[in-house]
Amino acid sequence: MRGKVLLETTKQADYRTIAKYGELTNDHNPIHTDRAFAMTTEMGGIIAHGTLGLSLIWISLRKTLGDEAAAGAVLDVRFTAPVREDDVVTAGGQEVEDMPGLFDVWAKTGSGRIVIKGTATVPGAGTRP
Amino acid sequence: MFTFDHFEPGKCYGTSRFELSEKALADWHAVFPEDMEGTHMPPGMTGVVTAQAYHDIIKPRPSGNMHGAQRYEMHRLPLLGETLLTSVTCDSKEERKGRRFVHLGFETRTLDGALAFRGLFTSIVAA
Repeated sequence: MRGKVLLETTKQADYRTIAKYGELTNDHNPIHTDRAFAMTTEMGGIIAHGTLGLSLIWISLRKTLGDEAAAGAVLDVRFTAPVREDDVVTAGGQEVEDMPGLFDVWAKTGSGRIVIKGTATVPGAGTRP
Repeated sequence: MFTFDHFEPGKCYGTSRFELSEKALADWHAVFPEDMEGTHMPPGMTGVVTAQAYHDIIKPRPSGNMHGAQRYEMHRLPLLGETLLTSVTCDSKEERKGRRFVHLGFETRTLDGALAFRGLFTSIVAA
């Protein structure tokens, strides 16, 4: 039985958003805001904080399933690629067939590059047959 | 310096305090206006709380560390106005295929000791 699809959340990781997120998390690593410095690194330019994309997955879970469900969730993800300045990132997910409450979750850029991948286990939120 | 060799599995490195104030929520919504309003902490703020604890406690660090993986276990969503205390512990560390991995455990509780959420972060350590 086809399960729930998470409502997607999209955000552009522009410079202002990245800088504000750095203030929010007290993360002032220059790779996130100093273009000249970031150019000298293996990343070759500014990248967003990894948890910025993860925040979008949480927002998708919350707006689809609600606070009560999110309050008991287990989220388990890997960071698979960096988000570059001005990338448009979309997060979403899909309930695994025949496994109620288990969601494959992801965040990806506009080009389809997966930047975060994992699962969310949300007790009580599963699709019932 | 928090290099790979410096981390000791089992050691708690400290506790960080976070006030879930109206300002903290407003700052969150300034970045994520698309997140819902409410009387509880948006679950996405788990990343903010743990990141602040990490930056407060695990310093200084070498440059070049990367996120590998993160796991969060939610027990409850804190209420607006609550104070959160997050402890940071080295869970384990390992070298695999030429890369150094450190697994840090985060445990966030309210002032009365009630568990709000736990995190387990895997970092790829540069040095």
